[in-house]
Amino acid sequence: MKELLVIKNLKKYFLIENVFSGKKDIVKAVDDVTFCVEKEKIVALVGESGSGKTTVARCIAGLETKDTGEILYEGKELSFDTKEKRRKIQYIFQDSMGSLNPRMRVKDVIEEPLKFHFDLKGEELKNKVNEYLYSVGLNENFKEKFPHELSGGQRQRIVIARALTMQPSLLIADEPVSNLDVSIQAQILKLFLDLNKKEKLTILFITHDLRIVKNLADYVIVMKKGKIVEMGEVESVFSKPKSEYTKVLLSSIPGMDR
Amino acid sequence: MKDIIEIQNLNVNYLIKKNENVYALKDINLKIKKGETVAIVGESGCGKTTLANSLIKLFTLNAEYYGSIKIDGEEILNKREKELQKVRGEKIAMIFQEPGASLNPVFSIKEQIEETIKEHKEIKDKAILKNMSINLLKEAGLKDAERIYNSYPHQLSGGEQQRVMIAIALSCSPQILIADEPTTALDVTVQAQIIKLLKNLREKRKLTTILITHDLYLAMELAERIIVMYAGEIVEDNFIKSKKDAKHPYTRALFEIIPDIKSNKKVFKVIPGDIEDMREIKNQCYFANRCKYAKKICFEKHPGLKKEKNYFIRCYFPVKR
Repeated sequence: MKELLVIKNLKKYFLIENVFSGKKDIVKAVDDVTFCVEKEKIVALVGESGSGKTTVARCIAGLETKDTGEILYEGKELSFDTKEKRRKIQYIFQDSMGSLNPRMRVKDVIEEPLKFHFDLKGEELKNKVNEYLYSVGLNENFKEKFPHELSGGQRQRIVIARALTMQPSLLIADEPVSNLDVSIQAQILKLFLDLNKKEKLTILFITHDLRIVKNLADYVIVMKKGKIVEMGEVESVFSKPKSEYTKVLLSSIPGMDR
Repeated sequence: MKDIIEIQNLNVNYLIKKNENVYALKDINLKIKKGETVAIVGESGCGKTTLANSLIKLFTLNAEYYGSIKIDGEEILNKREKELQKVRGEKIAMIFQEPGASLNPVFSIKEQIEETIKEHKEIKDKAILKNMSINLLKEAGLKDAERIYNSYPHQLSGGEQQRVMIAIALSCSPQILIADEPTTALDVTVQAQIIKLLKNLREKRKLTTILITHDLYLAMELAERIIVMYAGEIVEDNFIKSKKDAKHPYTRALFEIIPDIKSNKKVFKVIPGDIEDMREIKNQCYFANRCKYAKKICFEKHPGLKKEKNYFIRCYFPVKR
């Protein structure tokens, strides 16, 4: 089977209630979205803020319950009822400082999931921790450090290492580089590309920067106001965008007319 | 044209521990002409924000500074806080990276925009104040200025907040506008709009604009003259229109790490290594460890900023076209 994840007619509405006036309002965050993610591919989810791209990802990761529609994971309805299923989808957030416990050392951050899911102990655990640190381009010297002692790029690497310890089949990366400097961005993006090529990891990459999409992803899905306005292979969408919105997005890239 | 900003031998040190200094800026010499648009580019920690802050003396308490900064012929560094208030806003206005954090959440836009006008122009008439504010908001590209005027910051989107910040910055008719990463927190489409707005304002108000960013392509959208900083120094000060104009290996590298929209190859180039630890500076080119053109001399003697035909460069082996 080629598809790892199939999403059919997914809907997620939020009810907004004004505390003072009692007025109610419905926000259609995700409105009838259908797409699929093939195995070993990088799929980019693109759109402005408020387009619903994060809500889609949160539904897939089980951080949000869907209203209607289907999310099929390896052909079966997605559920998180066993330990095994829970570790298969991993999520990386934009703010690395917020996703690491400030009172845990790097070593503990990476050890904890290994202990819980794989019952590793002693020497074996130690080796595994080193292995994962190396896989994201860090080394043993970082083991005793706290999150605040690391730079933004290093922290994001730790978060990625922690996600990798779960041996996930799908990695959801929600704007993982938008807080970072250009040179650090390039390093982290290179890491994602390597993980995809070497570890055959499927990645759902959320971003608003189309320059990244062009060099990273195989497929691109463009969202606007909860709906998909265009999707397809990166090359064809970039060379012949069909929807007006994609054209606007493309023309907003700095240096596009050069 | 007259130089509106003249910086001579500016050095800024931060005191990090007792008796331990780390330098943030080293021997900055810079002249900016009236009406010019300049972009300051570099990685985080290269001192670009410190440079901008020093123009209006927004130093933190642990900073020491040496040298001279003249704005319109007036020395800034020995001015007292009260005199500086006149420079800030009326001569130089600044907009920051996070509009959400620059606006006070408990005051309406009306109060925040009128506060500045009251403070600097001593206008008390409510109708005039309102009229001025609405016009400023309109000038900043906000069509429904009336609604924005009466709202609170949390009711606005990021793009609207940044436009309000620009309106406040313009309220005292400054001559110089410093934009410190004005679009990093914003979406691509909004980013394009803000850059367009800054372009219009520059034309209309004859503003001298200084843009601080880490994105070279964004810098080229707005500015002709680009100043590249590395480890607290200016390494290149040049009129850059395309990648080929860049002379310093570091500037070239900065161009290369930005994903190329026109290439079909799936690769990301990186600059190897990290920025030098500024506490342990040796007598060598600071970029040498990461530079692919570095030769023996680069590790032996620190290069000075040399003037070529129409640009400045700090490198022994500038890249040829």
